[in-house]
Amino acid sequence: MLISESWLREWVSPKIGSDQLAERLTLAGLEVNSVESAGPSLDKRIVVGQIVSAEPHPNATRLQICEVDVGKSRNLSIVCGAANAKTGMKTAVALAKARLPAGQVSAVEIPVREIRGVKSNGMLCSAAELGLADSSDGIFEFDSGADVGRAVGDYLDLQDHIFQLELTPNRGDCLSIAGVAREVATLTGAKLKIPEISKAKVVSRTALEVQLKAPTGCPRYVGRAITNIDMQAKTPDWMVERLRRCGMRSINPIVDITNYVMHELGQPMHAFDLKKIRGDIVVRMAKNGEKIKLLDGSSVKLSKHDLVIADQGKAIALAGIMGAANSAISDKSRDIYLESAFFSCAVILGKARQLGMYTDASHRYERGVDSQLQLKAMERATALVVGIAGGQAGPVTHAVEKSSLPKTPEIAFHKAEIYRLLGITVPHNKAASIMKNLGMSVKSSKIGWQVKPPSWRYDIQGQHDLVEEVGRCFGFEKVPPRMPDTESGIGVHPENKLSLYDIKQTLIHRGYHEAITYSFVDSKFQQQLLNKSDAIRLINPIADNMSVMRQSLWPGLLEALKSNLNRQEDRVRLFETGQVYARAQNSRKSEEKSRLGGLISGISLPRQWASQAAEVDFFDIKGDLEALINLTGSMADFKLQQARHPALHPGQCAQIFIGKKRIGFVGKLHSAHQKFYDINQAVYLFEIDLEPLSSCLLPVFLDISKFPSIQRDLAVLVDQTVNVQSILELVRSSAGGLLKHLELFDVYRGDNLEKNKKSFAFGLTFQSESSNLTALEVETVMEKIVGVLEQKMDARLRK
Amino acid sequence: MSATHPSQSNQSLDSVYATAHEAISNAEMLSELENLRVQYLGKKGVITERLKQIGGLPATQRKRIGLEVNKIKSRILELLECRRQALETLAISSQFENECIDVTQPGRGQVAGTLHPITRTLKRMEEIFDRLGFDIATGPEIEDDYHNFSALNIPANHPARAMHDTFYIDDHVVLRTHTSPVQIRYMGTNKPPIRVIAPGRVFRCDSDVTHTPMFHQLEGLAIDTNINFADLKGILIHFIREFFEKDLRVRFRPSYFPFTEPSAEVDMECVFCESKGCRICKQTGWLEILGSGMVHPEVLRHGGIDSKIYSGYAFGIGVERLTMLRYGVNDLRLFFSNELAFLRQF
Repeated sequence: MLISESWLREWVSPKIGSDQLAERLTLAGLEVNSVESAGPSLDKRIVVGQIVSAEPHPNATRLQICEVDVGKSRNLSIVCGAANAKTGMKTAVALAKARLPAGQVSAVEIPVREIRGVKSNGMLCSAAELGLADSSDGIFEFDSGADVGRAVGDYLDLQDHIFQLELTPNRGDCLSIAGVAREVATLTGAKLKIPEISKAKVVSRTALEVQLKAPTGCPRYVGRAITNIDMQAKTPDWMVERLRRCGMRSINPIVDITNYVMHELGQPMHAFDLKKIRGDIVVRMAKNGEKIKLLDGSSVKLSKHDLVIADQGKAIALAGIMGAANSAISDKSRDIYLESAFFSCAVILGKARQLGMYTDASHRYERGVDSQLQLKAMERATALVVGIAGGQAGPVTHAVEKSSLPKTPEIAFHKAEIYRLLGITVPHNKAASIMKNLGMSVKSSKIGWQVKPPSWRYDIQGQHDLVEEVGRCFGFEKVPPRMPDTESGIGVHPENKLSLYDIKQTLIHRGYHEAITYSFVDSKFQQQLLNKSDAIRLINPIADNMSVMRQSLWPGLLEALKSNLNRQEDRVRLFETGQVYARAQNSRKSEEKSRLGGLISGISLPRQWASQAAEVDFFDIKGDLEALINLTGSMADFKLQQARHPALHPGQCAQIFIGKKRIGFVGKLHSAHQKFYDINQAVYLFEIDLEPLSSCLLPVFLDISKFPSIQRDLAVLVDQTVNVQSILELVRSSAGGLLKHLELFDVYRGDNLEKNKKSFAFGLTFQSESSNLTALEVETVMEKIVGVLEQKMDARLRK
Repeated sequence: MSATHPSQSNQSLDSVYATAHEAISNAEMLSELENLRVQYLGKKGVITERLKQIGGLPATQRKRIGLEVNKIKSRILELLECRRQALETLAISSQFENECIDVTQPGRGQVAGTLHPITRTLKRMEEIFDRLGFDIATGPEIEDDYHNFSALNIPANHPARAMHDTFYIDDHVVLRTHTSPVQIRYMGTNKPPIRVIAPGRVFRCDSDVTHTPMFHQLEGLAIDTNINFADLKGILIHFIREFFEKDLRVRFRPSYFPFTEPSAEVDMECVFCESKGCRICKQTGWLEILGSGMVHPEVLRHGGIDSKIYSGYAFGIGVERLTMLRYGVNDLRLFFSNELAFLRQF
């Protein structure tokens, strides 16, 4: 909300500067985002002048020659092209040599020059030319009472400041000058000067009956007819300026007055054209399907949850949001009906959002308008209307359903609560005076105080709210920080818990960068990649390509790969950890799993002089997986099993097991997807559950043998279809306890072998804990191994 | 080799030595040296022959000649050994010369990757709070509106809901808009004293230069008897100063969150301009970095905790914001671009 400092200071004027005032407000929870000048600082040579005569220019049809009184002994002759320039009018005159504000069309010194043969001694200015509006039709038209010769900057009080307040939703009471003034008075101790509002003289009998048919939504409705007003009257300059500083444009005197009262007191008001109202006013819930065309031209279909103001035939306003077109005032209106109503938060809440119509009124009603303010606002508005546009005020109609007005709670406020929640003691009297200044009724009691918050503070419901009020006005900075007891700070860190950072670090050492991709992905891409169509869908995605929750980390990682390839990064290694989401079976609920996914593409080592560049293959990524599993100490249980996955190459795809537990997939991106993503190099991917990586086995020490080991190599020829895992298992099981280490050191396929055969070469290390092994003992074991391999695998020993 | 044959017995011992000395000194290879050893000291070597002849000499000369020949023998042995060592040293140094490398050539192997800057910050935050005795909790990212809103004292249609720009899965299921629902879940399964942080992803339906539809928060919650605003100030001031490794000024500015009362936004002294006012702090000298407050009694009630006995504080820290301030990152969107050019810098 924008607040004019000079307007505020009319209500309360602490002896501190603008910046200090702003900081005090900020530190009390009314954040001042910025303090800006109310207008450009105008050259003193721009003054108020009155056009004494306006004659047509002899040589130009659109120009006039104006004789202007600028308060000097002699009038000035100024050529002006504005159509609205006319005799008697007061306007802004830039005298010779005056400078217009920078950034305007002619930010130059005003010269004395001839325009089409006539000497012009200055320039008549528009609001836009003075930097006070974005655009304007014609030159300024000041009030007839404006002082001729006075600098325009002084006349419009442009030295004023505009505070931009960022109010929290609980402080609807500060959406007005009166509300902010109350805060300033409490915070600074300066006296609050509440302008007196006297009751208008009732000079007409015109009145409408008001029926409250929906008292929960509208427990109070104050209305008044004012007849015979002059719609041609001009909103006074001071009001136009104040409204401008609140961010509002002047429309016509009646609308301007309702806006002015809203900004001044916080009461939204509405003005109807009395002639367009048939019979009396009814405040009721809309009928389902009832339609209303609003002031902004939009048509809305209502439901029984919407509150409307109606006459005998039709809805004439959507309560608390906007009036209807059918009853709007216009230039031709003569009689108006003013509304000053209290609508409950509950009936307005959410409506503006639902209709996409946020108005100044709805903004205030949603946050709560003071239920005691309506009569006062009506009198204030009446006085302004009669003063500015004339007219005869009718009697006030005050319809109220007292039992439906909001109740203010009585709070027993225990003194000790202040220390219990704030950790600081506030002197008894200080706390009481803070509460009183904020408008509360405060009575001392045995335990502390009995407090009744004012009708404008809906946010104060209990002791904790009072603690906040006392605390923020006393100053949070007075609370001394306290550190926790050291004994409370002992965390437990079991050694077998594997930290996610250890896991990440392992991949990082193997050249991976950590990525963070969005949890929502492109529906089509994911569906295609995973061949699944059951992803959880967002109702309101931010973009089409972020419409479903990811079921795998791969879609995001592939997107990241793709964008890096597009940026000429052709060696990419990325991993990500995070949730994947699925619908729970037979339920509307969702399930989340923590996963770790990675991909590699490009050469296996960064290009370097010391090693040959080779494209990554399956065993690069498998090595990375092994490094991860190794962290858990369960390497012996780690296994890959040939499998199928819609995203992966059917011949280079495996399921990952730890023992019997399937933990994920690894493989080469299927060429079809590679083509789809327009990627021209092989990509290998893995994804595993994080849960099996969350803990590790602790080391168990085994005695180190004192006896020498014996090493043997074994090369066997087997069918192409035989996998090495099965041979390793057979060798281990047939070798018995003497075999300490077994490694595959060569795989060979070649023309000099039989067709469909391949050769594996293994290194075996034998050792005994209790004796020196003899060659004979080792030969016996080797023979046994060969025998089993020949028998079970149809293997043949290569010599 | 010398022109005169050294075996000629008429040669004087001195001239034999002189010839040997010259030959040995000129030997270039170990094999040459071996030949010389055989030539002089071998079975039929010049010196060996002279020694053999000593027996045939008159007794009066035998001792003197014997001493002379043996002296020459040991001098030749010495020469040979000396030369051998010289040649070996020479050989090793020439081998070294051949094996000389350019030590400035880069090392072989993998080049390490990097932790994402957000993770880097989270890790640091977790470590700081770990030292202060906080456990870590997590909660679901797809939440029901009870945990995300109602239990946190944000009823339906509350203006605070509109501030959240929520992603909906259906009418009652949302992507969590903050990490605060973890408070409710944690209170449901743990009894005070509670001291916990909950880091994680959160989602808001907003995307522009300063907003991404997903970001990270770290929630903090402490509940016990005798916990008050002073504790909140203590812990957060400590955190900020430890995180930035600077004795920064910190201020607690009253604010509003439905789930805390009293509530405070926490501002710290701008790290870029030392409070002089700059573009980053919008000339205010202060950077708003987190929201905090005393847990609202309604929230405690939803967590099954008696607000008459217990009190607590809670805070929520924006991880991206801290990361940007710590490392000077100037565009929020970079965090989710996954560009290697960005990631490599951390």
